[in-house]
Amino acid sequence: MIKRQTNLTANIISFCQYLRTKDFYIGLQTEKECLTSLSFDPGLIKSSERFKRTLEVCFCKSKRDLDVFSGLFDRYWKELEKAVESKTSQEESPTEQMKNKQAPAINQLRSWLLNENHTEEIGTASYSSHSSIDNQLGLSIDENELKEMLGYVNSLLNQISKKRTRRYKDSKRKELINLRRSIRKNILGSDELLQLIYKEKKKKLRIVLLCDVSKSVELYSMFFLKFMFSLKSLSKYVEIFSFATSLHRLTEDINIREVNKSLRTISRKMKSWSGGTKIGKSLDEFMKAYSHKCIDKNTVVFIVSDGWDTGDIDLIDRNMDLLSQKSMKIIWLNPLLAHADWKPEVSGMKAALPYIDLMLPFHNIESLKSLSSL
Amino acid sequence: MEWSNVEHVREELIKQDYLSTYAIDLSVYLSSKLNKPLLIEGPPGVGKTEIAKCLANISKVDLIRLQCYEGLGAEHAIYEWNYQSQLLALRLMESQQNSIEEKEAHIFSEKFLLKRPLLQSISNDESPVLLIDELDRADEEFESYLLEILSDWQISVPELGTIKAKTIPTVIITSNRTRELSEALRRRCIYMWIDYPEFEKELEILQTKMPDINNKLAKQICLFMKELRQLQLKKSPSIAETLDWAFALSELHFDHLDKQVVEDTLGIVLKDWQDHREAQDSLSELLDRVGVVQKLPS
Repeated sequence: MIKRQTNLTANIISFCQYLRTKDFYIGLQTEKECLTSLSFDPGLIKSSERFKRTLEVCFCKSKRDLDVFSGLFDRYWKELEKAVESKTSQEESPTEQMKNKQAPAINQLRSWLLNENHTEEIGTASYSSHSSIDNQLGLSIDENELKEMLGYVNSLLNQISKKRTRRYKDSKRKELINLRRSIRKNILGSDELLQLIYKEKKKKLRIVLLCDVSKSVELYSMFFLKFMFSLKSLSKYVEIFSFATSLHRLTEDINIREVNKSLRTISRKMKSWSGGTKIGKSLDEFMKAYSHKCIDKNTVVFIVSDGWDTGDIDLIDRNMDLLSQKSMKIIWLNPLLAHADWKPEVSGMKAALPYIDLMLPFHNIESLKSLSSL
Repeated sequence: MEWSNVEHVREELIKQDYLSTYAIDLSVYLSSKLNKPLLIEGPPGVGKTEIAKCLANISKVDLIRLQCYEGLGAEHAIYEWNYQSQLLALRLMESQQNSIEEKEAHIFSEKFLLKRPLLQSISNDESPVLLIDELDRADEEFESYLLEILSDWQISVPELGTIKAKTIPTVIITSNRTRELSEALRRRCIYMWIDYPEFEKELEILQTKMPDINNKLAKQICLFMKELRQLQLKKSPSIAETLDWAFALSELHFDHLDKQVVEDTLGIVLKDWQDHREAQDSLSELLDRVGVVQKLPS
């Protein structure tokens, strides 16, 4: 049994600092609440398990926090015990001397803890500062690049949503009265005692992303993946699909808080990653299985592809026609458009071209930057 | 409810037939002591909403429920003026000699104010349980509005002034995580994650809710559900589905599982055709893992 020499409050505050380095959002108020909580019931500090649970309830604010908390707790308090053990071995008893010597011990501990993130191999956040590698496909996402991309995608989404008016539209559902129009209607001398006009909010803009992950765009696949993650994390009105020789819905598999897990799921699901391309067949699958749920006149469809296709070109023509009729806009993001001498000569691209509202280059962060500032 | 300690929470929840875990008891206890909303996340059907109902029953207070949905606005969550009554009142007052100020004061009085769940919860004399269900379905704008109310416990009605809370309600917020809630909201809450229960816990729940169930059948059902949740399903079966299935099989007088029974009744457990197909494909394997002896085809 370790004889505790540092006070509990100092240790908890130090633990909070450690947690902050691991992406926990812990403010002074939370620290205070944690200390108060421990005083409510003496049973909460009777056993280490209960103490751990109490700290968990106070400091964890998301599923990600809960998933990593236990490991971080064990690691911190184990290291603290080591530090305390090393101090007790010095056999110094006077209390005052103890107090004076506690500070460097805690500082040493703290410095170990705070610098730890520079040296340790295994990141404990949902995605590490190093690349997370998946064995099957070699998928990896760099945290900093992802953060940068999030900013640009956010601007892009703002740009798109700005184009739409936020005014209410008339409604048949008798829920929300349009008072201004009701008054005007009654001023004009209606026969009825009161004729009320109702209104409703316009539907939010929805986005569908159809992303090519075939061999011909393999060079850009990491960039596309980051785009998928960013888009999904910034808007809940997004549906994401990938295609090569067949279509896969990835919307529910992409979670920015669990990048590693998401990548594993995607790699498991995507047997045709870096394979051939059948845009027409994939579009056909999309239109048959998902268009009734995902596409309406409030939907902007992004298709990310170079247009190379080895399948039936008629399918592209037919489905692009349907897609353009059902959706608000089709924006084709083409990684090859960055090349000055590129012309839409491949058959897939030629077939799709008449139905595209906008075609833009999309090959690196700079192209995304210019896209978001359009 | 004034809790004396964590065990007290557990005892009271058991009385309501809610078999909790220590994490749940502790979260409920601390959220009550710290006067903070309890944010509960987890897959659908694991008992998030049930906690609010139990707490209301334990405290013998009203449960005020705000079911969130896309497009939910202040007029449905906080308050709304009764326009029809106001216009009628104006017509009725036309013959009277009241001044405009008097008319205005009359039609913008509390008589014409329709209190929606949030306002209702802070106007009660006795602190109710306020359940804000599936907050992830509401828009971000509503979440920001909620933040303001949860911080200050007051609502500003321009025509009436600020209405301060008479009592602070016990707030339970649930989310199925279809989108991430803001950090600001999380910071103001005690966070709790409820996952699908372990085998032993699910068996305990099943036997508590259905004391007459055959022991072997109950174990097989819980094991099967555990295995089923390991599959990549769109919607994993929840505790509610376990109970429904157990009830159905008991009513049909089955005392154990076999392949035919599972095939025939799988629709009670899985509600998506793709999930159904996925489970059908791996049914033999699942039953093997559960320990159900399968007859060889003759």
